[in-house]
Formats: sequence, structure tokens, C-alpha cells
Amino acid sequence: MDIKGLVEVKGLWKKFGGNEVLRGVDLRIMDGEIFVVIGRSGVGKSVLLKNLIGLMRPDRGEIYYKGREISRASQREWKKIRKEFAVVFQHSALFDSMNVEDNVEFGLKRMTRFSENEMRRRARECLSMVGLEGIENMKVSQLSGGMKKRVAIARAIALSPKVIFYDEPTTGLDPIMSSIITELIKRMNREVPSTSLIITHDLKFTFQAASTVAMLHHGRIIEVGKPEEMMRSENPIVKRFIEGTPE
Amino acid sequence: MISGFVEELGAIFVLVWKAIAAFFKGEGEWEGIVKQMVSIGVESVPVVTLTTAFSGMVLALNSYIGFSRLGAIQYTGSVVGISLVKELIPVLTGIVIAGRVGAAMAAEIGTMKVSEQIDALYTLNADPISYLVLPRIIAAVFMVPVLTLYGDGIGLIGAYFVSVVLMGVNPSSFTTFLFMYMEPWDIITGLIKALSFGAIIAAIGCYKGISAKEGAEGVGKATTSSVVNSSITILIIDFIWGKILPWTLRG
Repeated sequence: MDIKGLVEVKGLWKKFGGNEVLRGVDLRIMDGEIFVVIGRSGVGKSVLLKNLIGLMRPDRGEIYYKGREISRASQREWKKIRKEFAVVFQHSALFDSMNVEDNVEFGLKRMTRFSENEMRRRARECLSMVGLEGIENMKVSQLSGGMKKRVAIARAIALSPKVIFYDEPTTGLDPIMSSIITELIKRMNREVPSTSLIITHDLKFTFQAASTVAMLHHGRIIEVGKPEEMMRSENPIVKRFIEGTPE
Repeated sequence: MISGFVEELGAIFVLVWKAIAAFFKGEGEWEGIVKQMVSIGVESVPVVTLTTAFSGMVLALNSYIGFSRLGAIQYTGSVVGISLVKELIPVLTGIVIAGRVGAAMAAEIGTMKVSEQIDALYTLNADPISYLVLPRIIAAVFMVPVLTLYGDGIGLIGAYFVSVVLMGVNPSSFTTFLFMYMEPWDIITGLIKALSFGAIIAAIGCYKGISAKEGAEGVGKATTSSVVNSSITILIIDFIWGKILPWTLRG
């Protein structure tokens, strides 16, 4: 089989009851790129993401990572794969029973043999990379939305993942914080270094950050291209989405 | 409705089974167990003290009134003691813990579920069963009997206070009849019940949290149904223990 991408999805189907959410999704994400999946709310973006990170199993189709089919991997195999995957959730999903440093160290404790000192040093290094210093002992409840997002990114990069998945990274942030997060994601992509797969409906973010854009519509990818190609797309659904014209 | 109940019961058993399997595979995350023991045990001491003290006092008061009509107030201690340690203290402790701790478990885990923290646990290679459920079940199974034993003592002190200090029962006849008729098995029976109540409270609390639906309403419903279901189950299991533990019938 011809698998060229770092992450590749072939004919992915997922339904809930009679509702077919994904209807044959195909994607090819190349090593090192920032791949953005856009689409309206409810078209299956989050379901696609959950399938990619192993929180759901597809009904049909395959997901390849480094050429290996992973959608039907066992829990034990997923534990190995997850050392190379990191996820930044839409609402950050920081553990609010812990302080900032413990959140960033959480994955290190489970997936590395770092000593306490090494973990603390790595956590502080990651927090510094996202521009947050001196907040290690703060509770999650004391952080603003933008700070939570940056801590979530610090937690994601702590293990130097190969692929970082972002779910709606700029949702709920003010325009300035959105720009900061956009630049941060681009910088993390270069500095970690990693491949990024981002689910969003934020077009400003998409055109500033993406190297490749795919549009998901009614459970299928209807167009893939460079941001400038998507801007010039003749596909009426893509055009309507980009122009924000109601159907 | 019945199929829903059976389905839910099955899901709770599956959750407990997975927790037991995780325990025997050595996958338990022990970091949180001390925190859970403090939360379930130490922080419940004030409410258990109040509940069991007043239960002992009320039971002693009513028993005194009844026995005084029969002219046998010296038996107050024996009847009150057996009733407290076998039935009243384990059940009341269980229900109080269900309200305080079971509700907190459902609310905390439910909030983690709806804010994607449970998903985050998976992605960081922490199994929610090993990390959240197992420490809570172990802590509850251990701490509810400890609280019950403590409650037995407080309840008996309350009963002694009302009978002897307020109602004038002879102190030596109170204690003599108390220890003459109350057997160690009575206390052990109460502790076995408390152990099962601890498992029930934690299993239902965790299950309700993990299965919470989206939003604040979902977490609220999970919390309420955790308390209601735990309390009803405690009363039903108390009766079943009364039938299947032969020594509970002996006294």
C-alpha cells in the first residue's frame, strides 16, 4: 500500500446509531507540516480527531502512523504510540486538582524515567518556551483562558512529541491572545520539532498558520490544498465557508 | 425502566471488575489514595460524630421510655448497644458518606468528564480506572468501616450520656447489660456491612461521574443520582446482609 504521509487516513467511517458522522475520510499529513482541518460545527471534526488519537475506534477504514495501521491497535500498543502523540484540547483540559507544574509533569511521570529534578527542570523549560515563567505553583483555577491554553501546550510538548493534535486552539480567546497562540503553534512546530494537526473553524488562524488545509463537510474531505489555493477555490461549499455566506 | 436499571447495574459491575483487574495487575495509581483516605475518612469525622452521637442519644431516649413502661430500664444498654453496632451506625454512616463523599466523587469525576480531563488522562497514558476509580474504591472500602467503628464508640457514648446522665439509669447496670448481651460478632457484622457500603458508595459515585452527560446539568444529575442510588442500595444490601449473614440472625 502506498503510504507516504507521517499520518495517513484512508476511507474512515464512523456512525452513532443511524447518524453517519464520518463517511469515508481520506487525509495525508506529511512530516513537519501544519495541517489544518476546517469545517462548520457538527461536520465531524471532533469525531475525526478522537479517532486519530485513539479515543474512538472507526467502524471502517484505516489510520496509518509511520506506515503502520494504528486504528485497531491494542491498548498496550496505544501506550507506545501516545508517547509520540500529544493533544491540546479545546478547553485545555488541565487537571484542576493540581498546580501548573504538576500538570506539565503529568506525562513525564508516566512515560519517562526522569528523576524529580529532571522533571521539574523540563516542566520549567516547557513553561518558559510558551512564555510562562514563575507560575509553576499556581492553581489552574487562577489562570486566564490564554494562560490555560499555553500551559496545555507546555504539557503537550513536554514529551517532545512527533505529532501534536490541537482541537479548536483559538476558540474563546480574544483576538490578541489568538494571535499569540497562532504564533506559538507555529514556533512549537519548528522548535519541538513536530507535525501539527489542527481542527478549527477559525479562518484567520488557518490562513496564518497552515501549510495545508483540508475542508471537512458532511463527513467527507471535499477539498485539500495550500491556504492560497483554498482561498481561490471554486468549490461552492468552500467558497461559502470562507466568505461566511449562509446556505 | 427495568432494562435501563439492569444495564446500569451491569455497567457498575464492569467498572468494579476492571478496577479489581487493575489492582491485581498492579496498575493502581497509589499517589491519590492517601488524599482519598483523608477526604473520605478524616474530613468525614465531624459529620459522622454528630450523626452517630445523636442517633445513640435518640435511640437511648426512646428505649428508656419503652423499658420504663415495662419496668426494665436496666436492659436499655443491651438493646441500644446491639441496635447501634449492628444496624444503625453502619447504615447511617454509609448514608452520610454517600451524601458527602459519593456526591463529591460523582461531581469531581463528572466535571473531569465534561471538561475533557478524562480524555486527557487517556492521552497521557493514565488509565482513568487505575488513576481515579481504584484509589477511591480502596479508600472507601478501608475508611467506611473505620468510621463505623469510630461511630460505634460515639453512638454508645451518646446512649450512655442520655441513659445514665439524663435519665438516671444505673451506670453499672447499663454497662453490665451492654457487654453481657452484645457479642463481638455484632460489631463485626456491622463492619462487614460498612465495608460493602464503602464499595457501593465509591463504585456508584465513580460510575455516575464517568457516565455524566455534557454540561452542568449532566454533572448535577450525576451527583443527585449517585446519592439517591447509593442510599437505596445501602438499605437493600443491609437487608440482604441481615438474611445471608447467619450470625446477624443469631442475636
